[in-house]
Formats: sequence, C-alpha cells, structure tokens
Amino acid sequence: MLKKILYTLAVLLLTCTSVQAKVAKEQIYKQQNRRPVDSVLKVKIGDKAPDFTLPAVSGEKVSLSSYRGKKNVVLSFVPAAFTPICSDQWPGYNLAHELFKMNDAVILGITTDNIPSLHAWTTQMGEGSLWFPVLSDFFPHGATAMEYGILRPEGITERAIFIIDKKGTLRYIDIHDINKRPDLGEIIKALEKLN
Amino acid sequence: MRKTIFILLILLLAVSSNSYAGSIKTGDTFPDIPLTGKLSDAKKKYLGLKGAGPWMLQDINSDYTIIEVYSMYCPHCQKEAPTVNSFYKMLNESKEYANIKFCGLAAGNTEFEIDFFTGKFGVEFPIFSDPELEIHNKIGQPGTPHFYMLRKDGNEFKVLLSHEGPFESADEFLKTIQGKL
Repeated sequence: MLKKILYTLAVLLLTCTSVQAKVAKEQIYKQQNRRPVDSVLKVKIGDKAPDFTLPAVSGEKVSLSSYRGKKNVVLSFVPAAFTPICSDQWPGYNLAHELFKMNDAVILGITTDNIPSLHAWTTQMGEGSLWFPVLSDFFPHGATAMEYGILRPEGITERAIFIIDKKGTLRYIDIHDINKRPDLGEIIKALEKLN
Repeated sequence: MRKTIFILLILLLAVSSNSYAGSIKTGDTFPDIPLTGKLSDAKKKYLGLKGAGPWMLQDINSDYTIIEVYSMYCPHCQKEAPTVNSFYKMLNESKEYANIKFCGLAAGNTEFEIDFFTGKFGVEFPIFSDPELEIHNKIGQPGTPHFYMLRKDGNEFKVLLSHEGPFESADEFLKTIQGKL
C-alpha cells in the first residue's frame, strides 16, 4: 500500500513538472503593481549614448560601441527575469524580427539578473533562442543602468527603451510605466524616423 | 507516515489547480463584454455587426460564439496561430457550424500589434482589441491562449467550454466543440 502511494506521488510530481515546463505561466512570479517610475534619468535625446561592455547569455561580451557605423541599436531594459510583463515583452520582439531588420536595427536586451538566470529564462521563451543578444548588468550591480539613470532603489531597472543611431547618438527615450508594456508601434515609428 | 503522504498529495493537487483559479470556468456565466476593434465590412458581416462599434458581445448574431483570448507577445499563441487559422477555416466552411462564430480578443495589444500579428500569420477571423486589459481583467485575467465557447442564454452567456492553453489539433478541437452542441 505504502509503495503504491509513493508511486502515485512520484507520478504526480512528474506530471506537475511537465506542466510547468510546457506552460511557462506557472513559473512566472506574481507581483503587485510598482511605482511607475522610480529613478532619475541621466541622459537626454541628442546625447552620445554612454558606452558599456556587458556579458551576454551566449558567452561573449558585447559593447554598444561595436555597432557604431553599422546598426541602429534598441536598448530594451526590462526589470527582472521570470516576472509577468518582462516574460512576454521579448518574445514579442522575437516575432517582430523583420520589423527591426527592415530598419537596420539590432536589439540589446538588458536586465540586472545574472547569466544563469537569464539563460534559464530566455531559453523557455520559444523553440529557438532569441535573435538578439541578452546582456547581464549584474556585476557591478546595475552599473550600466545607473549610468543611464534607470536603476531603481530595489536594484532592478526601469522598463526602458533607448534608440541609438549609427553615430551613437540617443534619438528616442521611453522610460515606460514599469507595470505596462511599451507599444511596439511606437518603437518601430521611432526607428523609421532614423532612416 | 501515510498521513504525511496523503497531506502531501492533497497539497500537490491544490498547487496544480491554483493556476486556473481566477479564470471563468466551464459551466459559469460569461459577462456581456464590450467589443471594439478595426473590423473590415466582411468581418462585421460575418459576426452580424453594424456600424463602427463599440459593440457588445450580445450583438454577435449567433447562438454560439468562440472567443480566443490571445496576445501577440505570447509564444504559445504565436506557435499555435496556424492551427487556430485551420480551425477557423474548418468552422467557417462547414454549414453544420453556421451558427457558431469565432473571434479573437487581443489582450494588452495595440492596433499596430494586432495588425502585425494578423499580417504575419494571415489571420482571417475578426479580432477585437483590449489594449488596457480592461476586458481581460473583467473576465478574470486568463492566461493566453484561452478559448471560451459560449452559448447565448437570454441576456447572459453560458460557458460551454473554458479551455486554457493551446489545443491539440484543429480536428480534435472541432470534435470537442461538436460534443458541446
């Protein structure tokens, strides 16, 4: 009898694990609404975008300046891995690859999470990996976010979009309400203005 | 020892059912939600709607309505889009199901995002917008995709099927729908 119960328990545990792997919703941390914006921006449109070099999930290091003269860059800062809005924002950009490509733009996705967390989080966003680099601003904690003025007191970044042209100049800034997702249409419209 | 295992079992069951706690279930009543969106004349004709809206769910001219709550940003919805298109085609082409209408509700998506999704996947069924998630909140914040099959019951809607997550195949889902008529 005891053996049967243990067997049932093992099967149930396996079932729950497989549901979690298939339906990412269960892995998402539920949180209360936060203050829409809780930091003081340090850059403005027309400024040279502060350069940075950050480790990517792929294992390489990525510098903003390496795109100078080659690509328009969309910096997409999101607050935290495994949280509701962040978890679908990048899959949306993944689907819209052609819209960014048409505008000669690359996305750099950035959070203050560490690389293993970002790896676990982004690999379950779709069947293939994301087409754009995902960078970790984990250590020194949030140093890049702090340079742009979007590090919140709780150590996460704002939900922010910065568009930088091929000359390295900031052309669009949206420090978005952290509880809401920015409209893809606005980002594409801003990119179209660069061309 | 046995008591501990039984308690563990019950806890596990409770945890696995918690994720569906907020959404409207089969057998519940569905609210008469407002519907807005940029619909072509052909799509309005399909649903029996007139004018530029906003409309109410009650205005859809059919006894049964299937609503897919989805989002352009949801990877499951992206992956399932061709299967949902096949389902709609099968439903729409059969006289047997003439009294069932199908539409989408784009949770948290702007018109730009709806247009991009429909263009990308060649979606032909009508899609209503809910950019501020007002309707999504009103129906208990279901995960996406979520399918509701509704039957008009006077001024209310009876939920004949509340299906969370992608369906197995267009054929199988059509059989499920048939079983609910």
